[in-house]
Amino acid sequence: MVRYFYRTVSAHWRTNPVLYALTVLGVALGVASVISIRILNQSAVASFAAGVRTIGGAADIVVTGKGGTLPDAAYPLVRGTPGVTAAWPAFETTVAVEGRPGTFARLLGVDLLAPALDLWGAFSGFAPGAPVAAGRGWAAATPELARVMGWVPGDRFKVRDGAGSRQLRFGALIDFERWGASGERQALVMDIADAQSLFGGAGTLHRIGVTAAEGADLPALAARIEDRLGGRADAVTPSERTGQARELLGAFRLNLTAMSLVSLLVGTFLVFSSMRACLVWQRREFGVLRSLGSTPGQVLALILGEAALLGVMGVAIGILAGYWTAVWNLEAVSSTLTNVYMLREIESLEVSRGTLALAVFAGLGGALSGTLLPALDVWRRDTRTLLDTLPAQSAGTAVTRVLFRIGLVLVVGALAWYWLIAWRWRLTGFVLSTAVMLCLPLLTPWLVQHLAARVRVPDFGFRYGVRSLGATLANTSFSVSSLAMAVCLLVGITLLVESFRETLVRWVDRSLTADVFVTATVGARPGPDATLSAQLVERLAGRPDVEGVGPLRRLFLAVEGQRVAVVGVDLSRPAARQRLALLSGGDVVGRAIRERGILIGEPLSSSASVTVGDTIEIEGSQGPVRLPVSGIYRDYTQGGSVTMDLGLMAETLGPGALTSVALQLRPGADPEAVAAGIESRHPRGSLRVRSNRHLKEDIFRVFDQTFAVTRILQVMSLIIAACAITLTLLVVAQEKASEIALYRTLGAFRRQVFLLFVSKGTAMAFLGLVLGFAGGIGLGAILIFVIQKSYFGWSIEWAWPWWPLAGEALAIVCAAVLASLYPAFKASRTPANELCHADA
Amino acid sequence: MRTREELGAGACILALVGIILWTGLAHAWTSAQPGYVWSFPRDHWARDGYKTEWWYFTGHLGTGGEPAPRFGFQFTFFRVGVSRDAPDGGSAWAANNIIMGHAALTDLETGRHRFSELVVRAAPLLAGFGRHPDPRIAWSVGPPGTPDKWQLSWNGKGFDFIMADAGKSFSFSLSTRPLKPLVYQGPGGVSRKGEGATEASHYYSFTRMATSGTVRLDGKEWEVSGTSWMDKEFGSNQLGQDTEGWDWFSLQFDDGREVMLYLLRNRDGGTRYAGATLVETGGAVRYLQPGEWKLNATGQWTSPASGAPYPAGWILDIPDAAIRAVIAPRVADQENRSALIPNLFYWEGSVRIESGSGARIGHGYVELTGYGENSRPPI
Repeated sequence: MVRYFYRTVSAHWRTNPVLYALTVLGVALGVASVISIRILNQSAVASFAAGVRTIGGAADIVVTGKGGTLPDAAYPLVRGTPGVTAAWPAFETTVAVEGRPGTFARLLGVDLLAPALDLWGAFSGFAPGAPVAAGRGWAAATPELARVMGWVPGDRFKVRDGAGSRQLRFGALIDFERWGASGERQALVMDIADAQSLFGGAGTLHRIGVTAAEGADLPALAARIEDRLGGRADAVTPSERTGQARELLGAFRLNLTAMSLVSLLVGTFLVFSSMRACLVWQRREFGVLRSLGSTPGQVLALILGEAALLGVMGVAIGILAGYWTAVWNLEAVSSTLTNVYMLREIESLEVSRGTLALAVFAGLGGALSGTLLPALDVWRRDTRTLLDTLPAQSAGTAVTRVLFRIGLVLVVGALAWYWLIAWRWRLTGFVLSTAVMLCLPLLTPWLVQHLAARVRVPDFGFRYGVRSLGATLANTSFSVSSLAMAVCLLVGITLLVESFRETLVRWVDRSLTADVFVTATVGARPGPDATLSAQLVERLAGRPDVEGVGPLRRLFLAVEGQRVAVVGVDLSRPAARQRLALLSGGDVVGRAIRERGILIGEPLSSSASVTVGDTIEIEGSQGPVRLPVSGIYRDYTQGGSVTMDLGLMAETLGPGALTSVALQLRPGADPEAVAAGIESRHPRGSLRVRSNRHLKEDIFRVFDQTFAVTRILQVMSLIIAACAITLTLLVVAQEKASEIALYRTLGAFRRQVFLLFVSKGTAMAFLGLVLGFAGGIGLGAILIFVIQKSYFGWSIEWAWPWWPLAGEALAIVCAAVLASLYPAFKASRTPANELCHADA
Repeated sequence: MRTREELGAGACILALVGIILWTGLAHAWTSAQPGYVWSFPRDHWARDGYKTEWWYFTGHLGTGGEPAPRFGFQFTFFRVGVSRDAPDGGSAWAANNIIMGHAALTDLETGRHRFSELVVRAAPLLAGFGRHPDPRIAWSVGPPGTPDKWQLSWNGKGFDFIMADAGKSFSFSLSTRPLKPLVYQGPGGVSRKGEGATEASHYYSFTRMATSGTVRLDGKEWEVSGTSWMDKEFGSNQLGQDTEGWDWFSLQFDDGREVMLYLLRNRDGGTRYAGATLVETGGAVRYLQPGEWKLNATGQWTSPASGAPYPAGWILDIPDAAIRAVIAPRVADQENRSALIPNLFYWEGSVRIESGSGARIGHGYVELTGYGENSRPPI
């Protein structure tokens, strides 16, 4: 039997390679779509975790300030907390390394005179004592940075931050792996005193790493540390910190996870139908085997064995395809992380054992489960039935009606459940989406049956093809359902993305009214440490082409326990008022000025359950302050923001320099030329100067990058749908071979049979489109009004993206027609004697 | 093949030794030379310009008026100069010295020895050295996990010092008053450690000080009193390159005399340099010449923790002073093992002194460094 198994498998491949290739492709696509998104998802978190490890070393607890930084004085308090066995401070900033454009490095200032954490052991080429004794500028570099820059010990080099250029000296290599950390490839390490002094960070620490006594209760120790610091710092374990990153990335990852789950559903569905199609084709062969003496058990083993083999092949190809799909989309996801979430980019892709297990589960599990029911059917049937002409697969009206009703009950029940009970529950949106996706295959058989039955057939042409769909309902329903689910996903995502884009366009047009925007950067990236000097702001205001300057100061602070941007602007300026798209009418800004209140973004209002009239607590560097909320504005930033008057900000959160300015130019001035002029006069990487047009372009580039990952699903959906149609029509061609032969005997031309199958494919595409569009509109509404609102707190206005939707519909129809060409060709080649053979 | 920890440890100790050597070579640190003009009490405070400096207290403390000591203790502050330049004022972390603190308490009743340590940069946030007439001579944050500070101060007549280690569950706060005058260890207070130009230190002692205060151990507190010995030493590059370690003795005899002696050892174990001082009951000082005294080790104890084989038991003969002393550790394991600096371990412990017939004639403290693999002391 084993020998037969190998022979039959190779014979099958030789006789019908397309069907088998499609089956393997179906499994592979299903697996690829599942794991590609999972790989990206896990890599995003792993990337952040690596950053945490680099900064925290092998810390049990990392202490960070609620106001973003910690004062130096926090260190002795942390160190002296009972239960602490070692504590080490870190000052950090990002610098651009001069001499090689585009090279940036994380610069860490640590206590190089303390023998904590085996730090000295991490150096090689270490000139002992040099960091302090050699005077200013001694720095160790990671091997990667030293290699890229071609440094040898003793070399002098320059780095640049927002405040200017500094000369450093390369003293040693530092290997973070030996320090018990990993991740950061391009980093510089200096003594903390030198780093603080050179980079204007006197008195400031960014974190304190803590090693706890063996067996210490870490949460209790963290609580003691927070208590000693007067509650102005967060003490968390690295896993909690990574957990915070997970939370920060939560919404983004949620989208990825949701898409991954949908792709799992669609992918498994394709695997299931692929295997099923394959079995139908072999049915008669099993009858022959049985008549030659094989037992039902041997036949069952043969079927499952072949399914497993195809599944394994599909899994192997799917893992490779999934990985390369992830690689293909890496840049887009990585850019989203750096641009939207200010996190480090993904440096490498992580393929975990869990991901591989999921691939095997989806591929092999789908293949075996898709095979099991038809295989059991073969197993229990007698030899004569198997050799007989394939039974008509028209499911009874009663069955299709029951499925239809279940589908309706599912949708109506889910909606009722949402309106009555679960509208406050965050996961509701996903339950509703699943209900919409699941109802499609339930509604399809009845709809196909009834729509096909209503078609009048004047001749042996297109309408006959449509009507005959009802005769192969089981297969047709699979195909139409697959297509409908794919279209549903496609339409839902298109509606979300395009509506969001439209909303963003309106918001940006309203908010960005100045001509040129100047933002301080550190290492070419804005950040809490990047500020504009007062002299620079004065110079900009004094330019002859500048009519007015809108000051802005941005801090990242804990507001009601969430880390958000707190923006200070001059609220008395009309332009500043105008940039806020307030949700309520009246003189909200005037009231805020009078009442010394603040304005908050919609996401923050939603996540912190705060509304106008409430107060919120902001953790400033000088301690917590509580301020009244005077208004809420539309806001499409991650986590939301707070806007307040600059004066109030200085008074309550402490004085500080501006982080950006918006320039209103005099009539006739060219914003592009002004922006280029300002940028050219300042060191590269210290300022980001963008004209209004460029800034808007950048915003939409980031937006498009954020949603670029959805392309994976859109493309996969389309391929899966096309595969489903091809497979279905191939099965129909096999099932209906005798019927086609009869047509041919009765005088039907090959062209007519060809057209009949193309008609079937096109009809299935239309049915799938109609069902999918209906489901997609529902899914889009759920994504926009339920999921985005509850997870991001964003109000998105519904928009009908007619052209993108029409384009997608056309693509699907074309794909369906193309997918039906090969089966139509095969069917048209059915010889007339197939009739006698089938009826023998 | 060496493990990562071993390599790391090696690198750390090399780095610490390196810091001291490198900075010593790179900057013109002042070496101890004859002719130094002493000025007290100002010289009790830190002397900038010298690379290393320490304040060393050892002693015995009794409880409840009992004559037999219950505790032996050690309290030391080291100053390790990193740079002669004044620290850059741009950061509160700026420092040109490292402070090391070592403290030990031996419960002579139970035989349990505890050691505590700290290594921090002498930055205003963490540690520092006072300037005369500020009573604080040196201070530091406590070891990690300990909210209390360590401090050494001048009380006008003697020294007060406090230490605590919450993790090791012991602390003491002691006040001292000299019972005998200050003693220069070596003519003019210059103690030679070798023939090289810089191989010397400025060194003085209070060889007998009345000491009282409190000791806390495992949650219990004792009022204590007894006697202690204080050494203050400072210099630069005082140890020759081939010095592997030293044996140092501070012996207090019941007849009121004291003896300080030391032997610096070569890498081959032989004595490279030695010195001894006898302080008479009335305070008169006699610097003993090499032929005037003899010290023979009579036993050995191998540390199960570090594997270092230490001498454990000696016979000291100073015929001219009619001293024949049998010296023996009160507790075998009084090894101080650093958890911060790998491979830093030494034996520093209380010893009893008996006559040849076995009668008690005094007690003292002995320090043994450089025994075992890669254990050259970083000072």
